[in-house]
Amino acid sequence: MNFANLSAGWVVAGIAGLAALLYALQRLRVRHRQVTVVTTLFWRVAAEEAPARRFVERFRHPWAYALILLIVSLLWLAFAGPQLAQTDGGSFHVLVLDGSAGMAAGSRYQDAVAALKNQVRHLAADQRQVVWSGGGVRTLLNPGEHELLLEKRLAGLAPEAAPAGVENLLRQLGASSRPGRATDVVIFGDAPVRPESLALSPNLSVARAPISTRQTGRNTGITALGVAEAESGAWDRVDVFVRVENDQKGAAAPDALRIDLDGRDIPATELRAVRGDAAKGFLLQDLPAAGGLLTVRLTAEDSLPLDNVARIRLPDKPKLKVQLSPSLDRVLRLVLAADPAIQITEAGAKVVIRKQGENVGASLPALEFVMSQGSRPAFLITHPAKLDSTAVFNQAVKAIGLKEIDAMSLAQTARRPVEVTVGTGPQWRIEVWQELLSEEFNFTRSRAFPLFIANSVRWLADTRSGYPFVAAGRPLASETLEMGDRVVDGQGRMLDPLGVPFVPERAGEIKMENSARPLAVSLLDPASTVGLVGAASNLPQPGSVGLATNPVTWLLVLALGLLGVEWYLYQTSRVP
Amino acid sequence: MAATVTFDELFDPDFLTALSRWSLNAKRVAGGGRHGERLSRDLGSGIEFKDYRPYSAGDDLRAIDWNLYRRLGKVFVRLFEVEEDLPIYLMPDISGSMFLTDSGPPSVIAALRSTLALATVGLNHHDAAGLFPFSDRLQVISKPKSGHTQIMTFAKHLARLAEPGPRIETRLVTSLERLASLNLRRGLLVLVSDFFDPGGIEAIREALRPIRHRMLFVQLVRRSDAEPTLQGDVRLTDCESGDAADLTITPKILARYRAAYAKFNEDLADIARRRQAHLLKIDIEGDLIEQLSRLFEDGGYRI
Repeated sequence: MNFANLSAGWVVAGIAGLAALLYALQRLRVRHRQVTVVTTLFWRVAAEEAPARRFVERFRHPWAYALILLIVSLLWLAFAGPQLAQTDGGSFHVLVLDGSAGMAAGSRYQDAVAALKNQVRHLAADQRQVVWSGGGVRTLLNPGEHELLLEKRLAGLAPEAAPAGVENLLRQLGASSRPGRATDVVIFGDAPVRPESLALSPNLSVARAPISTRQTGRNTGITALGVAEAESGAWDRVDVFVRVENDQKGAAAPDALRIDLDGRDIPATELRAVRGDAAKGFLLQDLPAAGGLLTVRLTAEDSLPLDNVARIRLPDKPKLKVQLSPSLDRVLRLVLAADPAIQITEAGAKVVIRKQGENVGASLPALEFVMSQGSRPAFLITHPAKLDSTAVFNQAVKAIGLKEIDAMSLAQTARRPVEVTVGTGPQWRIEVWQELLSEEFNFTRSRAFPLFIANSVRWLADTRSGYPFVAAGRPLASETLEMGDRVVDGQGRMLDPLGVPFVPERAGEIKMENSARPLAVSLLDPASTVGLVGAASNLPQPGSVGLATNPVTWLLVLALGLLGVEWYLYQTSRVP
Repeated sequence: MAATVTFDELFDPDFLTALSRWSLNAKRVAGGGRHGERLSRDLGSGIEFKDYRPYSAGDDLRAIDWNLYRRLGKVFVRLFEVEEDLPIYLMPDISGSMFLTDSGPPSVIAALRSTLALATVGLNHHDAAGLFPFSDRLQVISKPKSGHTQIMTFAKHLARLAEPGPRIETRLVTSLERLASLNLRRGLLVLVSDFFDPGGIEAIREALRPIRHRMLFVQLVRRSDAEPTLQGDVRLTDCESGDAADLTITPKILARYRAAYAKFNEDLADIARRRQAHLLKIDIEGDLIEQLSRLFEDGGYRI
């Protein structure tokens, strides 16, 4: 048996102290009640007169002493908070406190915390673990730790602007649980758990603690905020998509939103409902793609404030300044001029297109047409020596669109293999056979040629299109960059060193390796916004320790019963 | 302790009216009294012939039966029945215990009303009633007097006895010894008390030996005397003597108390039985008329 409030030593010491105190009180001379009677004749006959005034008396009432000692011991034990070991075969309990955004509505979080504390009290310390599942997973109470630590660790916690991650946690628990040992998972919150997720972890017994489902009020939230290329075709402009949902299945009015770009308000009149239906979302068109921070807010307050604001960092898409060698002007000018992202200029160019040996563009990244002498490959990609050639090759093949080129036709015409090779050099460069520009190869008239030129120039200029959609709990993905930026912490250390897609845990900001402007992360979780009440009822309730099985209850009942017995004995003059 | 009963309460007309149907029946009373309704042990100048006896010097010559002298040649005088009154000596207890109000009404109310009731019954039938209250000593408030007017006087005396005073001990034995020394004409002694004399019941028995009167014991009882409700650790203080006794009330002690109290009652009943007297228990919290009626079951109390 464990005790919630006191150690076993304190319990024993307390009972011993109470016994000693009661013994001393028993020996102290009692204060007699004054009663005047007609005569003391018969009382003197009935009993010997009590001894004269003394500080202590003989121990006179052992049964009364035993009774009162039993009563105070029971009360002391009840105060100590005894906990019976669970009789469910010693299964291990993982208590998961849902700290996702949906728990911020109403008092559900407080209810969940109260239920969690109650459950912790009734479990043996070495058979339970408490885990926080909010923006991330955090252990609140390890097996064996005293439950008083839980109060301290919960002190600074509150629901985070993050989607429910309980399913991911269940998968981790299912993978890490030891075979042959039952693990009972109890979720304190309303994070949805799909049956498919339960099927992936057959060795887990998952239950959901009952939490009051009181009405939390209506809620409206921003569930989508994304960026796309401008429908107008302008390279340095983007369109922004906003979707607002509520739990009443109604559409939001444009004036319910307040939008600003880097602090400059954008009138609601610029919002246009998608296909005329506000329920499908709104479009903001032709916003400048200059890396600004767009903030969308809901003006009305509701039960869940975490989804009332969303931010997104717009991409920075200046026109690509390309210096074109005069020797290639005839072949490439029209191709380059047709690309809205490219501006042919000599001043401030970022990429140069030239023939081998020309002194144009100096050390700029270059698309260079070379003579196909010897074993020179058709396409040679040169990169700085610090990078991995394989990675550069894979990324470049896809980014430049080499697969779109009819290499077989080129090889037949050239009567030699058409190869792509990666090498190292002082600067970024793509070397291409100059002969491919001739009429003989028919390359310049193919559909792949303008694409090859446009992609090569963008790749050499290291053009980054930005992140169209950055939401908590979803992998960070880019439209065009496979290598992408690395997410770093405040000290510049990479948070995703293995290069796997980074998943922002909660709304806020994340810093990118090569950018001074942090990315904005928003909640954008329809489940949190719409599925507020009773998000999932497919899980059973845990076997709770109720009043009837609470040892404290029985101790108090027993003490009360003994007090009744003492009262009866007192009334019948069997105890003083 | 405080004043407990007033004159008006004692002299309640309804109470006195209820007493009018009762009477005391005595076969013969001692001679030497005043003319009354009781046949006296003396023979004298009544109207109902009783007997003859030889003439002796000093006899009234009018009582000589001359016809008998002619027939027998001897002088006899005629004797007639004499009717006299019955002297009733009423001894109410006015000690401190009679005035205790801690566990109910004071006993003195029932004591004085019982005294007045019995005096009234006697006075209604031309008997003489005298008042001899006692506490630590016997007081002679009024020697036996007859007549209806004495009822009012009696009530006034009793009302004065009900006034609060200093706490006084019960000395029944001393009072009885004093009564015996008064050489009163034999009559009916009515003792109204709780009989809690500090000397105990045996001392009372001894003190009653020289008393030659017929007796009526009126014992004042209260429910808490027989079934005390005390519990726990108590300091019992005697309301008269002030003596204290520290006790822890246990079932065993309660049982002993009940046994002691029962023995006291048995002894008191034995005293009454041996003296061929009646023992009337009056519950001070009960209806007095109803309880007194047990004494006068056929309308009269046979002495």
